[in-house]
Amino acid sequence: MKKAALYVTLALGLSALSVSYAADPAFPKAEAGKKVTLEVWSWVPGLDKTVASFTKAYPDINIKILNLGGGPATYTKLQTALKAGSGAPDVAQIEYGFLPSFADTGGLADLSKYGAGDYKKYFVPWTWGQVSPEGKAVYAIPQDTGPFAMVYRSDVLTKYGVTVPKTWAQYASAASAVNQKSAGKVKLGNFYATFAPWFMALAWADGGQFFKRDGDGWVQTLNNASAKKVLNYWNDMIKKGDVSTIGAFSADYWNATGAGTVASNFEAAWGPGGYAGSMKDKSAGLWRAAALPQWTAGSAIKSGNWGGSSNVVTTQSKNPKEATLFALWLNLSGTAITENWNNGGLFPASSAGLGLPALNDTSKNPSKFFGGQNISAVYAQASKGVNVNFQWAPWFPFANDNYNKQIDLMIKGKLTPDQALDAWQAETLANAKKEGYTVR
Amino acid sequence: MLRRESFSPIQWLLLAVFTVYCLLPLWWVITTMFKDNGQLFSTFGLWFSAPSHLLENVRTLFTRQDGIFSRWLLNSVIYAGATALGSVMVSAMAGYAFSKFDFAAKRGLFTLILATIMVPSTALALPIYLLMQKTGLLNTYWAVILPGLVNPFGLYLMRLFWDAGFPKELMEAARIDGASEQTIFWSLGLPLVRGGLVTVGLFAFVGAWNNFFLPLVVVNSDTLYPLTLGLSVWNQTSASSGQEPIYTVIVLGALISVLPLLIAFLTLGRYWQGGLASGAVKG
Repeated sequence: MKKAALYVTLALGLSALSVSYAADPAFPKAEAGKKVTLEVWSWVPGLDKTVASFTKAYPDINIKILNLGGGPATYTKLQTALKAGSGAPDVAQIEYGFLPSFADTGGLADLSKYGAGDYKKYFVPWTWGQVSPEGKAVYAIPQDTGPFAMVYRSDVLTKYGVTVPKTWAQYASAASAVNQKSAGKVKLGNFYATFAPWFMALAWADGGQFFKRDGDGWVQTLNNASAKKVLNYWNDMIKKGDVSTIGAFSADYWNATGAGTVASNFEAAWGPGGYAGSMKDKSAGLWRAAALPQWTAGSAIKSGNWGGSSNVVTTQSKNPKEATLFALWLNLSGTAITENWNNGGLFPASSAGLGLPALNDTSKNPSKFFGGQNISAVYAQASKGVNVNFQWAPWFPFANDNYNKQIDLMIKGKLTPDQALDAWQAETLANAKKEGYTVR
Repeated sequence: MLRRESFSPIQWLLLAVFTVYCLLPLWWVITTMFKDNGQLFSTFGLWFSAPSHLLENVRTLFTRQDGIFSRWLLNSVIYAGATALGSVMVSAMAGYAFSKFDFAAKRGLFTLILATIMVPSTALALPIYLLMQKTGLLNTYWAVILPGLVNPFGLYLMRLFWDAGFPKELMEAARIDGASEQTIFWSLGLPLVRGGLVTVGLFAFVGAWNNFFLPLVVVNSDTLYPLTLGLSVWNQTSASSGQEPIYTVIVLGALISVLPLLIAFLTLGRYWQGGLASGAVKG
């Protein structure tokens, strides 16, 4: 009896193993007997442990990791090494929005030369659009993503008799109902006034496009129709006092969400981990996630993205084939995706990765904080609905800063939403031209 | 005669406001190092909160990553100490040469050196990087120390101190007495420009201690990081999702990292003040 149970367990375990192996695509073959060392610059937490599994499978490839924590300093160091023509790593982690400025230095290898194009089918479609904007050269292998969904306090919504909004029209009327019934004490939503990518993700979900390659130049449309629609929608709610404008990631924000005075928001897939980590016991188990509200009732779920990153191979790499192999393995093998999720909460760009058991484990955070709901499933659905045609430009950092200025003026009532976006477009365009870009 | 200044109440108030304004951030640092990450966000920023987590923070600070913080502290002392000593010597000797000797193209050379003060350090990052790369010094202590030894502003200051503090007549008298040029520089001259040495040394020490950009670009191994770089990396990794935030530990580390500067100013400041004043009167 006991033995039988053991066999059953073993069999189950083996089949689980074979399933996870079957999910891995066949990676390019490493040259037998060729010993190489790859230097990798990445800020993925716990990457050293993940890499141990890689070197077990590929004993001839040694990996050296440098973790500078990401952010501007890491990029400065990488830019310097790329421009100097030496000292750059074989593989580096770069966020999607910054890829164009690095591609512009000519320091990124075209991975299609090393067979990366064959792996396009294993990634969620929009992520490939980020690393291969023109569909020809492949500048990077997608790593993690931040598709958008709605998070909300189920208890607060129930208290004010509001059902989970499926359209933006429903969301607006729910926001005004909550505001009135609570005498202004509770807001359904919150507008992150200092995060351009948050706003852009909402416009992205509506098909908005802000930058586009055009031959050797660029087209910039920060004031596109979707952007105007989304910003006007939010400005109306801000003016009526139906939503608050508390700064993201601030103590005030966590206090408000923890106390239930802000009852919902729109967050990227990496957001819920922050909710669980920052609010800890407060409001634990009361949160839920749902698909982003849509502009048209009954339409397929469309979403946008905020954040996420990719792995590039530099032209300075002496072993670009092995470097490409590593980048593919790191982002397509079940082992690596599971470790990256467990150690750093990286929401994968791999289609098969979205279904891995670790992501869908509802007994652990962030799902646990969300009352045991499988929120990865919500975000997986969101990722599949992210518009593929969305591009960034090398001067995005300037646009990112300038946005805050225009939105501040809008909230103070000095600019209408249309004027704010027009000013954002004009000032960013002028600066891009000054920096020497051919852009219209 | 020094006249005792008396301040009007309004001046007192203004001074008090500015003092508070300057000290508030430091006060925040002090209260924060007693907290854990939860208290950092949930309690009032400018006051202590119970229970104290200071000991725990100290332990984390010195044990995280196998106690690498101590290594960073040592590295900073090595970088700043070597840079300060080296650049004082280079500046003192070069300033002496410009002050006491005549040679071809002296004016032109001095103007050229002064002009380099205007070159921003970021513009030099790439050339320095390339130099270190070609000489194979990338990712060594030398890559951080060598560029700091050349200090045009220090040279300029030392020339002023040599001009004012060590008259040519004294040099000539020493020569007549049979003193060698070495003795004149080392035994007779240097003690007279002590204030200048301390001033240039302090500037170089503070500059090297706070330097972030140069080590960021030229150093790769975390065992070679100075405090500035190490703490910044901790701050970044701590902010990324899925990591346990250690902000209060980093704040404690930042406070410890400014202590050597405070000590340097308190012990050497006396010379510095004297030096600046003597330069001002005589110059």
